[in-house]
Amino acid sequence: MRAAARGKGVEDDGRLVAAALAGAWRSPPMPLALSPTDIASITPLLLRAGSGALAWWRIRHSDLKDAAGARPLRDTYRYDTLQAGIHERHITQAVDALRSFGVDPLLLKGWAAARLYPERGLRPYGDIDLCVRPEQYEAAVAALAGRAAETGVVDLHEGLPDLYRPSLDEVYDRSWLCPLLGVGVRTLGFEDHLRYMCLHLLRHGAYRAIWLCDIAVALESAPRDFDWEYLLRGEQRQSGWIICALVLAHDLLGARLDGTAAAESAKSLPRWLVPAVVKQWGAREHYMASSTMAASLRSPRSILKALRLRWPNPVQATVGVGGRFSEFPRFPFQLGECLLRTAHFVTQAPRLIRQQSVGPVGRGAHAPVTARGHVDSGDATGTRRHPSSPPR
Amino acid sequence: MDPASTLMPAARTDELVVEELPDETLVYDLKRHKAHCLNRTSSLVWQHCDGQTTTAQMAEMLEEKLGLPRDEQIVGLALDRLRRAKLLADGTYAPGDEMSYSRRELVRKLAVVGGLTMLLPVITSLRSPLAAQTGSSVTDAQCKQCIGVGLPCSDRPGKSCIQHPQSGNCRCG
Repeated sequence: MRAAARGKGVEDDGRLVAAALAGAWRSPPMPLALSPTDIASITPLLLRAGSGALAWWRIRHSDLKDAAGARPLRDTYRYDTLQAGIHERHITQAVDALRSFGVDPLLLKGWAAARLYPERGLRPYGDIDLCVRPEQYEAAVAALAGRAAETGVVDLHEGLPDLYRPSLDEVYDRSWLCPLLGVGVRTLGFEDHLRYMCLHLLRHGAYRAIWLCDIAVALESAPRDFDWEYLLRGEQRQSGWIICALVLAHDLLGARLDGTAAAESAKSLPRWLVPAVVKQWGAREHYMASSTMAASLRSPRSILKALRLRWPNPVQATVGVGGRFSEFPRFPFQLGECLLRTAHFVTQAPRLIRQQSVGPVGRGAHAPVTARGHVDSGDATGTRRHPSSPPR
Repeated sequence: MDPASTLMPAARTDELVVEELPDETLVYDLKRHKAHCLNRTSSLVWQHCDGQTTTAQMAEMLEEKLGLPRDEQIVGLALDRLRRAKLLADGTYAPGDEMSYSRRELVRKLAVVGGLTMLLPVITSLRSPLAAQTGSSVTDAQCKQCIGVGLPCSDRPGKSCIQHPQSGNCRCG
C-alpha cells in the first residue's frame, strides 16, 4: 500500500511538471494554473529535467514569480542564459577548427534545438554534439585535439546511424547553414531534426521533460512545406516510434498537431505510456544522474539501489529491444532489455572498474560513450566518441 | 571640485560574456569562471564606465534614467561592487580612489526619498541552481556538469570535483 501510494505521489508530481511546461515555449506562454505550493514542490524536478528556465519563462509575469520555489527557477534562467552565450562561442570555435581540417560537421541537439525557442537560454545544454562523416572522423579528432578550452566538450558522432537513414548524403543535402556569431553552422533539416529528437527521446526513456518540449517546439516551428513523408520514411516500426513521440508531445504538453500528417495517422497512445513518462518526470532520482554502476559495485550497499534505478523503464525497453508501442504488457520488453544490458555490462565491467568510468554505459550507437578521449584523460582533449555501428 | 567627481573608470572587456536582459545584465568571467548578475543600477554604471564619463556625470545619468537622487555615493557603491567583482579595467579604479560612502546612510536616504532602496546597486554572484541543491558530495555525473565543484566525489573516495583552470571542464580528481 505504501509503495503504491509512493508511486501515485511520483506520478502526481510528474503530471504537475507536465502542467508547468505545457505550452511554456510559446511567446507569450499561456497562464499557469498551479499553486505556489505546487511550484515549490516540483522546482527540484524542473531543475533536474533541464526545464527550470522554461518554467521561469512561463511564470515570470504572473503572481507565481514571487512563490518560494520561483527563485531557483529565475536563477536558472539567468545562469542558462549566460551559458548559452558561452556555448555559442564554443560551437563556432569547434566548427571553425573542424573546417580548417576539411571536415564539415553537422550540429545535433543543443543549440540546434535551443534556437527554436523564444530565447536560447530557455533550453540549456552542456556538451556540443557534432556529427561527421565516418571517413572524416580521425581528421575531426585531430582538429579538436588540445582545444577544449576554446571548444568545450565535444561529442563526436561518426555518421548518424541513430537516424535510421540509408544515406548520410541526403541528410547533408537537406541540412541548413544557420548563422551564429558570423559562422555558418550546419544543422539538420527540419524533418531530420524532428526525427532525431523523437528517436532520441524514446531511446532514453523520455526521462527528461525538456526533450519532449524540444519536440513540441520543433513541431510548432515546422515550415509550411514540411515534408511529412520524408520525416516518416523508412521502416514502419521507426515511423511508429516517431508518431508516438509526436502524439506524446500533444497529449502531455499540448503541442499542436492539427492539420499535420501526425494527427491523421496518430492513434491513441497505449494506456501505459503516459503514466510511464510522468513517473520518470516525478522521480527524485534517476540512474543517469547517480553514481555509475562500476562505482556502485565497489560499495555493496549501493548495489541494490543502483540495480533498482537501472531497471529499464518501459519506453526505453520498448525501443531497446526494437518493439512497438502497443497495449501488450511491457514486462517482457523490460526483462529483455535488462538481460541485454547486463550481458553488455558484464563484458565491459573489468575495464570500467579499472578506468573508473565517468559515464553511464549502454549498448550500440545510441549509448553514451565511455571514457575514451574524455577530459578525464587529463589532456583536455574534450572529445567523446559515438561509434558508427548501427543500432538494432 | 571633489577629486572623486573627476574619476573616469573603465569597464573590463576581456574574457567576459555579457547578456543583457530587460532589467539586469548577466556577466560570465571566463578567466575566473564566475557568473554575476548586475541589477539595473549597477548595469547602467558599468555601461558608462567608458574611461571618459566622470562619476559626477554618472550620478546625473542615474537621476535621469532611474529617478535616483543625484548622489555620487550611489555611483561609488556601484563602482566598489564592480571592482570587487573584477569587472573594472585594471588601473582605472584603485582602492585608494573609493569615494567615501556609507551603505547604511544611502539606504536611509533612499528610503526617505520614496522607497528607492531597491535601486541600490547590487551585484549578485550566480551559481548553477543545480549546484545549490547538491548536498555534501557529488557523483561523477554531477561533477562532469560542474555541479558541486570543490565537493567530495562520492564515486571516488578521496577525490574532489575540480575545474580545469583553462578549459573550465570539471572532473573528479
